[in-house]
Amino acid sequence: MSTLVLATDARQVARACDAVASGVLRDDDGLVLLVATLDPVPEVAPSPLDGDVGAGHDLAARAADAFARVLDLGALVAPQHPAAWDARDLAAGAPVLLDALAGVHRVVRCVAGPVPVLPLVLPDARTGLLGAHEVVADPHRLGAVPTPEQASAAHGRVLRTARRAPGAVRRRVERALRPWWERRVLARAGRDLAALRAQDDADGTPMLARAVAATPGWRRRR
Amino acid sequence: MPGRPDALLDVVVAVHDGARHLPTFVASARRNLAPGIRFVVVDDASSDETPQLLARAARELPLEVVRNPENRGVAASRNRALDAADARYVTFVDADDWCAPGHLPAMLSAVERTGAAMVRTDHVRVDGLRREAERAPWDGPRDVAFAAREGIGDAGGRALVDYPYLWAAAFDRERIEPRLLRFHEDLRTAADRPWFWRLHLADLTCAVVDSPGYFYRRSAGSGSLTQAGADRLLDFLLAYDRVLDLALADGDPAVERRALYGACRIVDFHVSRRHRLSRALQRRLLAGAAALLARGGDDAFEVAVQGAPAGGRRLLRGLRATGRAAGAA
Repeated sequence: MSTLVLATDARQVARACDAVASGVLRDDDGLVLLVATLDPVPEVAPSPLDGDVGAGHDLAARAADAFARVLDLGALVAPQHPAAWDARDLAAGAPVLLDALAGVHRVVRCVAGPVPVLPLVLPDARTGLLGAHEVVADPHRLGAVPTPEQASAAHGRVLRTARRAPGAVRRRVERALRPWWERRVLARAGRDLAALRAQDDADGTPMLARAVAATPGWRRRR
Repeated sequence: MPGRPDALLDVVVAVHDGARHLPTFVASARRNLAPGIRFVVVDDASSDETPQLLARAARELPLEVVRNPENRGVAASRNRALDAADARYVTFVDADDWCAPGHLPAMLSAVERTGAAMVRTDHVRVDGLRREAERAPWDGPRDVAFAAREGIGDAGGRALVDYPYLWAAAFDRERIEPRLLRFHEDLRTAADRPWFWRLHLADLTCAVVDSPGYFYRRSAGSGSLTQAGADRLLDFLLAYDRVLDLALADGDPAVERRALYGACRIVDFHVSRRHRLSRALQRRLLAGAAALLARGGDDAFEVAVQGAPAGGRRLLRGLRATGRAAGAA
């Protein structure tokens, strides 16, 4: 059972390395560093391990020394965004991620805030927050307490469902009226094509091209 | 193709007012550099900061910038870039999309390794932070060259010929006649449909390969020239008219059925989303669809329409009857 430390930028990686060096962060069963780039386009953004936090700091090397394993959430869930995939994507991305995070019983954040996607794969893990001199334990489990973002997303789902209702009504009405609507639009399309056929076609433009082009006469007939 | 002796892959990029996304494009280009790879960017008369951003990028990247003095559209811009290209291999990138690190070198390696005239690959659709991986529709073995014609298939299901993503592909210009790579400049959208049909009907080879990933941004107004405005949306009818020209000239009944199936599917798609169009455009859509679907043989059409969604088949048959009655065939 190991502790996973989540860092989303270079400063957090540096803080986590300092915490391991000073003994604030420790776990006899091993410490795992999980970096996650929250940039909208993480594929072209610098990794938190490549960030510049001062001269002489090779973050990647420091992290490799301090932690038993260093993982990149983006690489584990590719091509999904590290912070924006959900249960619908689990079938495709979960095996690699679950294997990588097997045995994690505690997740420590470097700053307060949501833990992106991790509640989906580590619902029973305890949470903690990295403080200056200790890890502040959180009595909750990752999967038990919705983060503000999760709560907002759930609220959003309710709103979206409500918004969909008028569309559902519209679709039912459309389905009922569809035979009538089809007869109407087909008759009109027939009239439009017949009018085009009757028009002088001196330059030899095909009927389809003339039908697609804006024809001033059509607007007048409306 | 005389030119740089070390030229291997030219990446064609057409952009119009794409300043918002160019920083991402440049960052992506930087992570896709390899010897012999060059970007040929056509700035289609942008009025925002695109020229300045491209000039700055050209100072640090192998990036050739060509500027259209007036807006000519994506097809003409791509043709201009193809004229400026001198590498043996060519691929495409939209300025609002991005590639995973190593994607372009991997595509270059694939087209060299397989010896195919064109290689096709998967892509990832991006909508905000949501991503959806879309595999190239090919059930055969990957990384193996096959006759491009096999990518056409018959009516029903997905097929490579109707996977019209230029940027999820790379092309060997020594194995493909230059005329086959020209785009119809009068098509303001969907020019890639007849373009791929032409390639798949030609006596070429194709291979489907894995790659690190091309990320295609779906959101509208992104500055990409492939984002179609409402008035030019109907050009898909003209594009499919060209597809039917090619299929009917080919004479293979399966090819005709596939082309009619594609026409039925795309007409059904746009009719089901007609509410986003003005009433005048809806009317032009339906008249144009009637003229389009009037083409081809009855037997081929009946097979093709069976592959369309059940709710739309009656209208599709009605459109064909209307078009034929008006003499549009």
